Amino acid sequence: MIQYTMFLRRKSFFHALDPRTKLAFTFVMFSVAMMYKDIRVLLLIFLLNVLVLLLLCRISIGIILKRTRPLLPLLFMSVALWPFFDTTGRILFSWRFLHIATGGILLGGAMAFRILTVFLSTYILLFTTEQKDLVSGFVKLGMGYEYGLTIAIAFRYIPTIAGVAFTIMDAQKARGLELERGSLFEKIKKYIPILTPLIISSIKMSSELAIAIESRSFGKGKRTTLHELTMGAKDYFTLVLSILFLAFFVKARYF
Amino acid sequence: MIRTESLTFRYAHSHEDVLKKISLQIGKGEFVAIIGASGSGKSTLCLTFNGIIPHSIRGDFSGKVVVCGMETHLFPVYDLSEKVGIILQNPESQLFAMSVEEELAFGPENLAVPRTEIERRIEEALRTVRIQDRNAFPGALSGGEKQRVAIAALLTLKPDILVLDEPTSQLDPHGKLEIYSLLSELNRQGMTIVVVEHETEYLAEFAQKVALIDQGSLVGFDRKEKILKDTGLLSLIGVRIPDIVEFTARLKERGYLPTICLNEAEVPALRIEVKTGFKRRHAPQREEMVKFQNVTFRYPESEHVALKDVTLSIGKSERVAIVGENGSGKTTLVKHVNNLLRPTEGEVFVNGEDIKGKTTAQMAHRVGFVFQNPEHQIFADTVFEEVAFGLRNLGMGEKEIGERVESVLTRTRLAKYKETHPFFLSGGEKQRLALASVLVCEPDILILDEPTTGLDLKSAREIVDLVMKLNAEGRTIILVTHDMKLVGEIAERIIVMKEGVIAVDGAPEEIFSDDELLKRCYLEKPPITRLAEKMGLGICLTVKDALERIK
Repeated sequence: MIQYTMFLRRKSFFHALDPRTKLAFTFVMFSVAMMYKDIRVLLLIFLLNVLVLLLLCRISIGIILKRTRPLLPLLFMSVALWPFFDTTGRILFSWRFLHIATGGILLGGAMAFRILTVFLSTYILLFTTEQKDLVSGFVKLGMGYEYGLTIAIAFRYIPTIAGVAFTIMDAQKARGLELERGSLFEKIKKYIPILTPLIISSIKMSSELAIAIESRSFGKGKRTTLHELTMGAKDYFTLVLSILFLAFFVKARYF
Repeated sequence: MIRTESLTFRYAHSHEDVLKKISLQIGKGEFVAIIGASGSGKSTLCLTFNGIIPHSIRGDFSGKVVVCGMETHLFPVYDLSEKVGIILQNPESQLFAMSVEEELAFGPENLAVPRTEIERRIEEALRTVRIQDRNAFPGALSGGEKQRVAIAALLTLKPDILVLDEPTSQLDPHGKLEIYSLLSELNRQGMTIVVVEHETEYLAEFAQKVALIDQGSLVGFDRKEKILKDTGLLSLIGVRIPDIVEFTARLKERGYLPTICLNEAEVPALRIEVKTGFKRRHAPQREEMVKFQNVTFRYPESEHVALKDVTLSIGKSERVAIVGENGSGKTTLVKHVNNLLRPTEGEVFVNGEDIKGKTTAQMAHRVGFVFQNPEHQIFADTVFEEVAFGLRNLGMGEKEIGERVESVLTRTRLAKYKETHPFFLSGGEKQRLALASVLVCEPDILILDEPTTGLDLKSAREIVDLVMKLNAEGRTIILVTHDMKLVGEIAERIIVMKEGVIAVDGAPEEIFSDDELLKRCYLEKPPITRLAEKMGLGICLTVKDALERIK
């Protein structure tokens, strides 16, 4: 069964960190990337993220490339379109009302690196953190346990519901349903025979799930957790470094 | 341990009592089975044992249920769940964590049990259910493993009683046996077990007492020997009689035996005259209907080869059963017949024609495929519209659609429900509706995936009769199942799959006489087959077969 998680099991510095620390790290990278438009800074942060992935998360360059490939159209658009809107700097090329200038090219590049950084820093979090730890991290940061459990269950049942959906599609195809043919409107209509049983099955499953959860003493009140999240020396070290990093760039940008 | 006093319950928005004045008492350490036809109130009864009814599922509740001295309507479910653990039919809906360990920790965490104690309980529970990998994703386990994890997740709450509602109905024979061995082991350690079960065969072996429920009333509660041997009562209520009981009851009628027996061991050595020269009617030469030519199949982006170089021929109006453990390639094989899957290598022919270029929808009027769970295909507002769907997809005119749907509904005995919403049909009726909605396209080949799972005796009987009738009309039947009784009733040829290849292909007599082969393919010899063999009757898969061979 396919599990819809991006987590990759490794033994690395980042894998061992508390999810809260990793959330903070990702937040810092995110913020700095959003603050700056300077291609030099964004390139630097991008490279930093790549290095963290390679060295501190032990993720191979192959996986990084594979996961960033879907972003290519977005990156291409950034590089190709920004020059039309930003015509500051030295004009390199002019044709009627179109001017291509150095400023626009640099900005296009900067925005491409910003997009990359936003994704890579999220990957750092998702590649190295199991969903359950992520959820406990959120719960620790103040989200109610019920909400945490709900999110965790939603993740858990994606493959199950997907499996049911495929079975239903097979059953309806075997009764002569052609999903590929027809106009857009017809295609949407064709999904009714798939969505109806899917929704009914999901409701049935969720009412059974409710019984199962309740039958395991849910709702009694104060609970313990098998794995308490604890911040270690590595966490404080990373946290302090991240905060200094953020402070430096905030100061450089605004003060 | 559990005591009910004139327990009566009616679901909100319902006009009929599901449970009617049930009074019963289950003692500590007992292994009790609850049996009864579909809709008799068995599952509802289970849900009253840990307070889900009346606390979470509301309705008119009267009388009382006392569990370990606690009146259930006075205590919240989370307190009762420390005493009673409950397992439902579908393992998938009970495992909601991302790992086995988390699943097992959930209960004690809710009770604020200290961490070291939770760890200790997890260790112990995993050892009991024999699951090793505590980091495994529960969704990816086999059915039997899932149900064992679900049981372990209750064991960490340290309950005194386990209540299981048809825990094995979705498992293969191997998984079923795993669960029942586990339950009897827990029972030996002092756990009280209450189980709802269709398959009385297992109860004859494992249970101590049996409660018989009919339309919400308790009609019998006694030692299993008493209840299971009461063939008159069981068949009146529509509960499957264990094969050995049925067989020995008939032998008793004929004067061969003084008493009815519950299992093979009870049957004394008998002198029975066996009909000699008994041979199953030989299958005549038939024109070829389905042909697989060196078919290999690999799921996309997977290294695993699901079918390996399969060559196969099925004749017109043959009745073939495809058996084998889960993951052996049974379903993968039959999905190739209507192009739900396309071979990675090799060709499939239907009625002499290579089906390579066809879509599954284009095959619908030739190959009917009835999936296991009818709820996975029912979507329309009326039974009529549900059946008409296939014909509308073929673009047929309203008048002809009307005629054909009417005729199919009559044949499947659903005509009176024509304008009913399918939601209101019983399990057996839904299964017939699924069959009808495939039959309406008049396919020459009918593929049935576990068509009787979860059905009670009467509904299952109706499906078998219908399938045999369709076969007599000349349709080819391909049955995918774990149920050897069903195989015995329907099939004249068995194809055993193992790891993506055909392990053996032959008549039931050949296959069930090869003990080594059965073991290798994880096939279980049904009790009646074992008994008949011991008595020198040869290979029989059903009671009918065995009786026919006695002079």
